[in-house]
Amino acid sequence: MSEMKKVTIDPNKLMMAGLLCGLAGSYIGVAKTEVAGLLAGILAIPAIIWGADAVRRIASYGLGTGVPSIGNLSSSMGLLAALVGLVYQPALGALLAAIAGLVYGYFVAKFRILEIPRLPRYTMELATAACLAIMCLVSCAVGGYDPLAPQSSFEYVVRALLLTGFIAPIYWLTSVAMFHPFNAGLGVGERQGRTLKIGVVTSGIALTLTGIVRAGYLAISASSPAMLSAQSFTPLTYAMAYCTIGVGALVWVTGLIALLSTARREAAIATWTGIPPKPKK
Amino acid sequence: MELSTIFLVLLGIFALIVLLITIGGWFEDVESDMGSQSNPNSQVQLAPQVGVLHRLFNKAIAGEPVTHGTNGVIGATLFTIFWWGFKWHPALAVAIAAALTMLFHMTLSTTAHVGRITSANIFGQPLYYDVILTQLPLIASHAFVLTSAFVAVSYLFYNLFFAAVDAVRLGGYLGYPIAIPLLGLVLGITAGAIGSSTGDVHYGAEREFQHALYGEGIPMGLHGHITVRAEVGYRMSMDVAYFCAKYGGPLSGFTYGMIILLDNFRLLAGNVLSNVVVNVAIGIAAAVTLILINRYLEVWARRKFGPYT
Amino acid sequence: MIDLLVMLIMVAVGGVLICAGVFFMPVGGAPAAMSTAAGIATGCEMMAAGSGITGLLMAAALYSQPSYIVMINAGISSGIMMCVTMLVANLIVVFGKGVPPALATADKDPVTKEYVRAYVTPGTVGHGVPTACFVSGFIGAFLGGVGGSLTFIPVLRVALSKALGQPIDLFGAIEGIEAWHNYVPFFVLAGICALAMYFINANIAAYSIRGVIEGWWDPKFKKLPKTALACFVASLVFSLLLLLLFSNEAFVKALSSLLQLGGG
Repeated sequence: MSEMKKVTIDPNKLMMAGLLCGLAGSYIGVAKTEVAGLLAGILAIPAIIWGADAVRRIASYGLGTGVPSIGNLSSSMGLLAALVGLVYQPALGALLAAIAGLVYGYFVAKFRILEIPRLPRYTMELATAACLAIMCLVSCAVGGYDPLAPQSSFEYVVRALLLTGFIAPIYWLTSVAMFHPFNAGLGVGERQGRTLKIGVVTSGIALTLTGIVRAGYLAISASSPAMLSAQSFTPLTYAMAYCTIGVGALVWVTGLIALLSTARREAAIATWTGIPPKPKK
Repeated sequence: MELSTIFLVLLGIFALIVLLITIGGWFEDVESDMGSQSNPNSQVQLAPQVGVLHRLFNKAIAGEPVTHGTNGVIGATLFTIFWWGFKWHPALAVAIAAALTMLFHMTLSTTAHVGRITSANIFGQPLYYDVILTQLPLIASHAFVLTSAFVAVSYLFYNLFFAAVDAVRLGGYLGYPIAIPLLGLVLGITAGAIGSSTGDVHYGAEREFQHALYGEGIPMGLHGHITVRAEVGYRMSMDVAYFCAKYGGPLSGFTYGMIILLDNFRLLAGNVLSNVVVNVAIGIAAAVTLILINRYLEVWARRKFGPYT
Repeated sequence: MIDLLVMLIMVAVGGVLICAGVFFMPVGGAPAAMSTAAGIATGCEMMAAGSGITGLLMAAALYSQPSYIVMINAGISSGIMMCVTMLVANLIVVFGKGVPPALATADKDPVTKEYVRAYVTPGTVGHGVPTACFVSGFIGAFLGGVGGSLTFIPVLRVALSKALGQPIDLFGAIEGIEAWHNYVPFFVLAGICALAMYFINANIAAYSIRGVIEGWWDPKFKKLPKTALACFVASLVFSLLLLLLFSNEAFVKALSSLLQLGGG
């Protein structure tokens, strides 16, 4: 039923964009510049929007209250694949996430647990999108993760994310950012353009929180250097962290303004106050 | 300090934890009634399709466990940064972390309401700006209380485990060695699951269908035809919350407090007596007692209300 | 190598137990919130996660005990959480709405063998949490708690043994490790992996149940074997990823470097 709905952006183009930007974001730490973290975070946004579109396509078949479950599921599969990808190679991690999603979708379809056409392809897309998004956000949170030197770089990840516990917001907000757009736009009059605008808002939220995590880690390691800091910090590092927060907030507010003006145009009646009219029979 | 004084301090902190969790659970349910979230929201979503247009706030952030997990994790992350990084006093850090979390929560609520109402445009459901502007501060204020409660409890649990008073490790008695953001996440998810199972029934079965008879369940034919008129004018979500705060809210808080009390009491008793069999024994005794109390309640209700006529 | 394989099996079996636990729980979903169905008014996945998390916290607190004690205690914690929730849900249904608990998929209550059909409101499929659903819920939560701790325990112990460089028994008590701040990452890793396992397995069970289930007598319960097999495969994939993670040198080196830091 949803295939016949007109879409604003072709799903395959979104998939290409998400895949390329996600892979670029996970490898950008090789450049070893100060802006690597910021760029990795920005490149996570297309991956999250790709995930939100995949959720939209799979949930249009009628999952009902199962929409947030899909988001949690893909984020869970993507988290472990992201960790594996970070210690080996990000491309391998994305491939493993795709295989995991494919196996999952294949078995769920084979045992007729869910009767959705092309389920393995959708779960593959979801898991890969979540894995790439988490890898990019982790790279942003440590200020540029160098995947070609995992021996030294993974220590930063363990200190910044596992010791402080900051892996939890990154994991959870990726899940929320992917399922919230479709769940918020659920209804008979749902439209892809409006749903993806909500996706921009939620990915802005995810990027802002990653920037906060980065700035927070810098503050924490300044106050307990014996336990935390293994990297060297220049003044530009602090500036880049605040820049990430700023860019995230900018994306957030822009998306929100775009969404509100779209809603004002497209709602049945959009006024300040009133009594609901008698419905047309 | 001698051991008995330390033990009294431990009991005091334990009581504080249970109090904070009860308040958190209470406000969690009232906040979800204020924004019409989770399971009864399916009726608010269904109403325009059957021709009932409403003025309620349709906050559909995918169920309470996820929402309050999000609030918990963001609040706990900000708290960790303020307390550990900037070295602020914990009380100040809790308040400011909870306040900043409200920006995230209000954004998600607004996008959910706007998105759902706009997607019901073919049924003619209007989008009222005053609904958003009057309900949002109320939602944010209730969510502030619950976020600060859960962040404070995560801080207490984490610090209890690593605290040492005069060479007595308090972690041997209470506390969990899990980092504060993850503790905030799991406490929020559990709060959402509990509030959704208990308090939401009061909202969905009683208040949402106020015009249906008291004393029977809501048949399927009545689904979607929610009460949209209030005592004066059209009902808004704060009318719902005012009613449910009298019964549904306190019971949700009571549930969560009871769970944390029983669980940590088992842990404390087992650790004090250094015998894990005590844990299992208290647990099984509690479970059996609860089954018997439920059985008594069920028989009493059936005898008092009688079969359906 | 052997302990990695044992971890694989434990995690996969834990997934199956979580799935079985969800089938036992009396999930009412959205209709139960309107007293249109019997059971707890939450979705399957979130109820499983909510009760399982209570068990996870207990497993984290008792980390140094032998494995079977940790599993039993985690299961009982989850069971108590479910029992208290169900009791209070009944209190609200009885006094807030004025209906006695009743179920509709069977004429007689499977545990107390009384006739309950007369108490069901016409147009609904039951309301509240009758005794049979209560007992079924306790069993379901117990299984869920055990399943979650079956992921938490091996991940924690294998990570510790790899970081410390000395073998740690996967089943016995842990001797001589007193937790201080630098051990927190191990608990965080184990906790997040267990949480992810809950979401993956309870999800598959939720898709199979499609809304409402009342307990072991419900006709939907017959779908358990096939769903358990799908959960086993999904958990096996997850544990294979864990295996890959723990066999990597960079990961082990990063974890062990933490333990050489000074206290903070």
